[in-house]
Amino acid sequence: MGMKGDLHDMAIADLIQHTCQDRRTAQLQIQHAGKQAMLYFKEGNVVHAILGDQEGEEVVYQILNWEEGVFNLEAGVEPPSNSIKHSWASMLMEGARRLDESNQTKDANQSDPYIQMEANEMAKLDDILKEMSSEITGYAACALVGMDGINIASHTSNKAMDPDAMSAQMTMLLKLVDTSVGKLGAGIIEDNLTTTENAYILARFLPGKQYYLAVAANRKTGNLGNMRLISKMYADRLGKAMPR
Amino acid sequence: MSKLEQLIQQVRSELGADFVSTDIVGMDGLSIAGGSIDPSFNATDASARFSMVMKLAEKASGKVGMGKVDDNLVTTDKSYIISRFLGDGSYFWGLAVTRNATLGSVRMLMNEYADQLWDAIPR
Repeated sequence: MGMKGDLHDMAIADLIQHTCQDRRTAQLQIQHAGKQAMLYFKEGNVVHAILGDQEGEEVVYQILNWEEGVFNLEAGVEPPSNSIKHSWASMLMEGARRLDESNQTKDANQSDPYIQMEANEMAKLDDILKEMSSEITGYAACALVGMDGINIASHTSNKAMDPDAMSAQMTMLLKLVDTSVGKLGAGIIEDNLTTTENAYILARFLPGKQYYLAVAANRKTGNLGNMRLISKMYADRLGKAMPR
Repeated sequence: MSKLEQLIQQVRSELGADFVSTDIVGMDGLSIAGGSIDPSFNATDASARFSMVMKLAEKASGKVGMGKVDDNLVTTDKSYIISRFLGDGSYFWGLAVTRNATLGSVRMLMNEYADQLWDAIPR
């Protein structure tokens, strides 16, 4: 089963995002101006890309420029190799940043808040998350997430945990909780904490409610009070560190 | 008064002025018992909405490999809203308390009453 289309109808960045968020394993073939690129997805991550004799992330950054062409997405095709290590979300942000710098899609990107973040501001957010991770008992992972479900920054101590998948799921839950609380007149939501057999997962809005801080801690070694306190302190700090 | 209603009354008594509302809700979104201090509070709406929250929490936790959900706590500027699965997960217990409540004590109370409530649900 697959999908074919034209890049005028669906941009490559959108194809990557939807395929990853659906956690698919698939092959994406893209043809543009006589060239052919192949992207490979494995369970929701972009793991390999080929363009001519080039492989890896640079292929992804190059093809994000392509606005004309056709694509063919074929599900269930296993990747022949693994040349990409970064998350799909961070590659899309890096690709968008490069496009902005080259002025090729400046008008289209001006409304995207992520483009306007400079690399040093992103690094500052990463540093804050890393610092917070050392203060949370039983820490597993954290992410700063937009309400579109995409990570602005993330950090994990557990390679088995996928911050991108966690963020996508938590965003849907947080939106539902926020709507429910609003409709019931139960006040203004501050945070949502889900306790599972393996983990505590806390999502706390930053001021303005365009972003939230997600933190996961191990159920056995984590301390709930510590987690809530530390995440509150760092949510305030992250709110101040966010670019305006 | 059924055993379930008696237990709910006991929970209300123990929480005192911090109590706002409580419901025992099937995963079909329908409340089978409960009560609120606010006559204008729409328990039917709350039960339906929070059953959707619990279903989504279960789905989300499963997708990221976090295991079965025990409970979900929402903190607002006015209240704490705790939804806790009972027994085999076919029902959950929803409890809303004021922000003045001591959260640790409320969670301990729910630990104490959860099994009793599950046993009291007619089957």
